[in-house]
This record gives sequence, structure tokens and C-alpha cells, in this order.
Amino acid sequence: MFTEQNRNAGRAMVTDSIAITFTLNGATTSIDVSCTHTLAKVLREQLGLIGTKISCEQGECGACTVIVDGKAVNSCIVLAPEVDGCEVLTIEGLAQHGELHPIQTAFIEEGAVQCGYCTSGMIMSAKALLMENSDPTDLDIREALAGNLCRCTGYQRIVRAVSSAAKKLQTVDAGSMKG
Amino acid sequence: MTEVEYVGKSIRRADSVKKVTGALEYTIDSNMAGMLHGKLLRSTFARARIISIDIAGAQKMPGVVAVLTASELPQPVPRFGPVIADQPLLASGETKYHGEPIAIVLANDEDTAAAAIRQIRVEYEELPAVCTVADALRPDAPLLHPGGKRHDGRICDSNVCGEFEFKWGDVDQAKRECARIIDDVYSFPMIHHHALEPLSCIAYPMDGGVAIKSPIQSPFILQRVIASCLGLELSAVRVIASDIGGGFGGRGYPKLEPLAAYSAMRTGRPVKISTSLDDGFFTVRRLAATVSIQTGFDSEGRIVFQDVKADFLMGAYADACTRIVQKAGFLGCGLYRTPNARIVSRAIYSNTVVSTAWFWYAPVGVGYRVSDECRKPVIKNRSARNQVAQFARQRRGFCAG
Repeated sequence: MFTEQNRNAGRAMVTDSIAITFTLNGATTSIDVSCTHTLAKVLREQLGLIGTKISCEQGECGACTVIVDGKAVNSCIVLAPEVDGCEVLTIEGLAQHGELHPIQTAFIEEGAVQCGYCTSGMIMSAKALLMENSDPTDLDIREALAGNLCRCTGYQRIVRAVSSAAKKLQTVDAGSMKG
Repeated sequence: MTEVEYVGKSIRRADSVKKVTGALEYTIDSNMAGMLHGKLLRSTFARARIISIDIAGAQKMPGVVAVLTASELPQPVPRFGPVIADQPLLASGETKYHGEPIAIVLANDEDTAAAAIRQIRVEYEELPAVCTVADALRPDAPLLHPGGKRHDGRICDSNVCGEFEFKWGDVDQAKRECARIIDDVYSFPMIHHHALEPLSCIAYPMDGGVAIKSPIQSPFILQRVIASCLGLELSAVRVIASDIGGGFGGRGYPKLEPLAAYSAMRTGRPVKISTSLDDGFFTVRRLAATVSIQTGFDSEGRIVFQDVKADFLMGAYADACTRIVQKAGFLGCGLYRTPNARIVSRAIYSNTVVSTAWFWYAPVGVGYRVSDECRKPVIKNRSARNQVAQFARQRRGFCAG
């Protein structure tokens, strides 16, 4: 993945690259990254994970949200070397064995997807919330998504989708405990 | 009753699985083999004469394939626009707004292109600019396009690029006869559409012509504009309207695509121009407006006339604004039935960022203001005021009770 072109670009910027190892969507990943490159840039351009979207590039819009060690972060303002040794989850890591994650299904069922550009970030923020709080109120959901902008302004349906996903996940969990 | 296929059913979006899994490829996510990255150097003055541009430093950088300024382009510099072809591929001689592209660096990667942009030295002579409706209309205002053509084909003798009048009834007589006249002036600011997907397009040479991939809302207009700007047959231009990460009117008309198409044909390689979201503010914005409205009422509170003057502040180039301003005029009387009306809407050039449509053609600028006007205290008491508004809506058939 790390091409000669990137190496030259690194030199042009008068920066050094650094070797990092981290867990990406469950798999151990070791790569050289430029010290000046953000996690978003590395995910998209070096690792080809375009599901993480870039937009404001200053941590305001949340389109680039990924989960690092259980917390939702704006990957456009996290420097890539910072995730050395961390566990990173991106939108690409959510569906398992071709099965959509319940949050993804809920977004489709509730019509919470419009242009789709904020969707990855919204889903990742929702995922981080539900990892911490399995029974969120609407207020909890709104607070957790406060850093994610939907310019199509489809917020009601997004909140409904997260709420519906939480309920579905509770049922799944209850089912698995009985079993 | 016959069974209907879609009505009353919840239909799954065709692209929803791709969108929730992050697999959907927007133009900004796309790459091609051998693709060059284009970065723009933008003017730091609203209006300035370009004395010199030194591109030597940028050209020397490893990875830089070409640095283009207006002097490297065919002369006269090709211009484009959906209504009036007034926008040059790169500013030629004079910059007309803060943020206007004056050079493009084409490099093997984005970092190099960005670094090379910083090596370009430009010497400017700042000139007086007009950035408000009032300044642009001053008799001694510098003209944005001296010798340029207006919407109606006449030569510009002021900064007014289009002027449209709609009227019915007899406003002057109604003014003499009405019980009460309210005058007001509203200003309507410029704002950016702020689609989350930053503006991005990819052009590549194709069979002697060019293909352009862009999240464009009007692909056929883009095809026509590029063909006409670059002197190509329509059939030599292919437009691929890619999935769009929000438009809101801001992606309706060509912006950076003509320059990308020219650069691709010039270098023989795919060219991608991606701007940052901040850069978007220098690329497109909504029209601003100053709207003067005179509304006359009879003694019962009914509207008897509306006299509307809507001056829209366009950017430095017309884009689709003359058409937008014309249609805004159609709706100048808002929701209300007005027996006598006169609406004059004007599209006025200024040294500001190129302006364009906003959702439904931006007539909201006029329509909303007028309905606001009607809620003003013709009759001081609130319930009487609401009755006036309700009465007007009933007459128009918008409200049953």
C-alpha cells in the first residue's frame, strides 16, 4: 500500500515517516505513515478505506468519525502516529460475514440515509454510544450525535434509527443470555 | 381499487446498503491510474491587476507535471458559463474576486501540488472593488465586464447584467387610492451551500475528447458548457454525474469542471481537482439581495398593490444568476393575491464569489419577504393582523378556514 509516490511526498513536506502497528477492524496492521498525515488521510489514501469521509477537516462535522479504543473520534484531527497500539474500528468493520450491523439495518429501515455523506460518521458515533449505553434516551442519542452534521437535515429519522437499533440489540443480547 | 406498486409502501433506497457500509464511491473517493492532482492558487484580492506570476519555483519541484496560468492558455482565454460565457478558466489580467483561481498546479500527488502552490509568487496591484449592491450601482463604479454582454444581449454599460419587469393592474393609480402604504427594505445575505462532500471532479481524455466525472446536478448543461468552452463537438464530451454528497443548488452549474477538462486534454492524463470545504466558500455561494417593497392596503386591510424592487448581488461571473433572478421576480408577490403589482428584479455583478441557485431558484429571497411584510402591523392588534393574513390566503385558495 505504501508507494514510492507517498514516500516522495513525505520528503517534499520535509517530514519523516514512522512505523505504526494497530488493530484495524480486528486485524493487526503495520504500516509506515507520514508524521503529518491524519488518521483520515491514512485510512482513505494508504489503506483504501473510503467509507471514512472527509469534509470540514477541522473536527466540526463528524463525517470522518471512527472509533479508537471504544471512543468516537474525528479522524481528520487525529494524527496517524497517535493510533500506534490502538484498536481502530471504521465503518468497513461493522458488517460481519456479509451481515449488516443492526445500526446499519436500522438506518436503511428508518429512511435515515439521504445523500449518504454523513452516514458513515453518524453510524460510527451511534455505535460508540451503544457500546457504552445500551438503553439510550432520545436526549442521549442527540448528545452522542451532536458532533455529526447532516446537511440534508434528516436528524429525526437518524435519531429514530439509533433508537430502533438500540432496541434490536437489546433483544439480541437478551436472547443470547437466555440461550 | 387497483393495487399500486409504490404508493403507501416503504421502498428501500437503491443505494442504501452502499451508503451504510461506506462502500459508495463519491468523486472525491475516486482515483484513476496515472491521475494528476490539481491544486489552485487563488487571488488574495477582490480586484487587482496581475502584474506578474512567477511559477519557476513550483515548476522545479519533483512530481510537478505542469503549472498553468492564464498566459499558458489559448488566447483569448477560454470562458464558460451556462447563460453568459464570462468566466475565464483562470483569471486573465485582472482578478475579479477574492478567491478567483489564477494558477493551477498539476502534480503526481496532492501534497506535492499543495506544496508547489506555495512556491508561486504573484505581484498584484490592488484596484478598487465593488462588493455591495449600492457600490456596484454607483455611477462611477468600476465595471466588472466592460464590453461584456448582458442577459438580453446588449453590451454592459453598468454592472447590471439582467433586468426583469413583471406587472399587472395599475400600481400608480392604486397608490393614489389606497388607505395605507408601508415601505420597507430588506437585505438578504450571501451564504454558502455547505454540502458535506467537498467539491471534487475528475476529467480524463477520451477518444479525442474528454470525460468528466462530477457530482453535478445538471449534467447536460455541463456537457454543453464544456464543449462550447473548449471548442469541442457535444459528442466529444462525456459527463458522468456521480453520486452527490449534497447539492442544495450549489452543484447545479459548472465550477471547476471546465478547468479540469482543459488540464486533462492538455496533459493527456486524468486530472482530479479536489477542494477543501473551506475552499468551497471561494467557489460558490447563494445570491444576496436588497429588496425594497412598498405594499398598499385598503381600509379593510386588504392588499391593493405591491411595488417590489429586488436587487440581487451576483458574484463576479453570471453563472445561472440572470435566470434565477428572473424567476425570483415571478414570485415577487409571495403567497398573496395582489390586484396591482410591479416587480423589478435586477442581477448585478460585483467583486464577490460567484453566486448561484439555492434550493428552489432562490426566489425565497423575495417571496418570504413579502409574506413577512403582510404580517406587519397594518392594524396594530394581533388577531386583526392574523385576519388580514388569513383573508389574503383564503382569496388565494391556500386556506379553507
